[in-house]
Amino acid sequence: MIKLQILVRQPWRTSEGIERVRELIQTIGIKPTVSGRTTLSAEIPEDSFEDVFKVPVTKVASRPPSERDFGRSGGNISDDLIIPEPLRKYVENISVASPYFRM
Amino acid sequence: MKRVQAIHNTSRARKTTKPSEELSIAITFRRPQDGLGPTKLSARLSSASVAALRPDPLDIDRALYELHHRGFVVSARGKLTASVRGNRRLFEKVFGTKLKIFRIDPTQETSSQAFYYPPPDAQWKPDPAIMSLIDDAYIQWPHIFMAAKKKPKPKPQPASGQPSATAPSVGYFHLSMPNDVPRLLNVPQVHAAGTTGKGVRIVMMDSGFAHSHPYFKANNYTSSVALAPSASNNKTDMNGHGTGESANIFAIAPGASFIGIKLDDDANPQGGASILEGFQEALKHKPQVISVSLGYDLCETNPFTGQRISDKHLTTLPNGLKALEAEIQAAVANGVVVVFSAGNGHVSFPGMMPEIISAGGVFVDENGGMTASDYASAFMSKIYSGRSVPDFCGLVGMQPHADYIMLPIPSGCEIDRDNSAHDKTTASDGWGVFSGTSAAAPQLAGVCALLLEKNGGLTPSDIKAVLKRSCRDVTTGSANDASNEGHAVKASAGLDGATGAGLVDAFAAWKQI
Repeated sequence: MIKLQILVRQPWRTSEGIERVRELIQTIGIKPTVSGRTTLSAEIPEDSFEDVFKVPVTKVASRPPSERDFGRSGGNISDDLIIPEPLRKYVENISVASPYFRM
Repeated sequence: MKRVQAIHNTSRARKTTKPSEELSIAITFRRPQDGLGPTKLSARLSSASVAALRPDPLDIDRALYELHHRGFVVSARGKLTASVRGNRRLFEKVFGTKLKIFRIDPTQETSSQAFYYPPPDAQWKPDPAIMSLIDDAYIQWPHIFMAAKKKPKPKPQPASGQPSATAPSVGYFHLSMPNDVPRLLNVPQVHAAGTTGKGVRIVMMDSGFAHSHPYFKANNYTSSVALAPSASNNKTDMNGHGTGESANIFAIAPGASFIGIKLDDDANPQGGASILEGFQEALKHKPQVISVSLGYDLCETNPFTGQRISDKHLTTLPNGLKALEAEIQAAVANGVVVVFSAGNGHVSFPGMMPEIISAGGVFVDENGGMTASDYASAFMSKIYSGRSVPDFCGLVGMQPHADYIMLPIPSGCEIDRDNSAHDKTTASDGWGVFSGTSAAAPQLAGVCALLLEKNGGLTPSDIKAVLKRSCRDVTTGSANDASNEGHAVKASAGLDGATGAGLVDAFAAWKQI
């Protein structure tokens, strides 16, 4: 599964707006995982990603601790994603969750 | 790919370990003008001739995309070559070959003593679409250790081992828990006044929290641990980072309600939750303070390896971080105190956001002398104009490894094994001497909890302000130059770039509210 981060547009940053986006993303094959006050996290199967976003995604392996950090998580990277048409009214930004460092 | 010609195959070797089913494969590419690649060149490569073989980056993109599409995982990418990983069956299918087990002379100290490779008579009928894009593909042989033979390190284990509640002796100056860190931050006077963070909800998100370690039980610390999406097993921590760094919060605010959010998936190191998912999960627990010792390095980096291409700072926030930025801003606007690590030479995000408390590092030596940690980041953000990182500091060690605070970790976890190479603990004793600004963030989060217990009406900006004006000034030393395009920011009298307002003084802050 590819982890996605969805930023909701300003007027929809309410529990109703978040709920609306949660419903909409499921209609295009994206599964919500957890949400906050302005954002939703979600997942999409690897084989659907390119159909929905029209760009490829690449897996990045995790890395063990090094001199400057205590390891890097795994994740995925992609070019900037185009927001699918059904979501444009409600969504300001969609991105793939990229790897992070333990500091 | 050349088939292997001569490999040792002794009865002694056959007794050694099985080869890994996961293969590491080096990929070389063709140069655009004539399709020639490094493996087809008859002359020996030199540093001058290698530049003439540089492939078109777009061709590399296409090849890696096709390999990824067939199931390989791209693990690294350079200007001439790339590394991918895939299992034996996948390799056999894509490259039309049959691999055999080869064994290495067991007197050689290698990373593995058996591996899969095509035998001399193996067929080689690669997928034409792949071969049109690459020069060749080579399974990487196990690497030889250039040091005296040593015992293999044990694999990481969940916290099922039985480490001691008492730390081992390491024979050099370091801070012990649970007393030294609070003492140096002037916390004992606050505890003596009856303030321990009681009733304040602190959420920390990290690799995991194996609080069954006897150290936590011996000190009567209690916690609850929730799983972020895709994380697994709320009792384990295969890396050790969250378990160890959480000891900082307990030492400072033992009365606080500690809620850990585990991000890692024990079964799949490539999986686990994103920072945003962890943060969203944290918000569900109605926190007053959130402590995060994780982040991104906003320099030009190789996205596959995380290695820097240059120390130059990014000047705009990447699209992929805008959702996290907005969620943090919303949390702070709703009264949650959010503390992030300033980084260990990283140009850290969210550690550079103006809304959060950015935790930097001060090293206090055995005589009480304070100096800016040269392990911790300090820089002016090029994304948030006027933002100087850090705000103020917790306790962080010095380069090269910041081995400074003795912390309890799951026996045999990743940090237990890796740190044992330099911190004089063993690879499976369940203790590690480490720090980083990962330690500073939970220390400061603990101090925030002390202030919130005394005055629950304080806003995030109130807390930042009172901590800032009550810090002890640090006037010597420099921060990590890697965080500031190669120029280390120096500490000086008053507010400075290296340590911000200086080292946090919990008692002085507590008295002011």
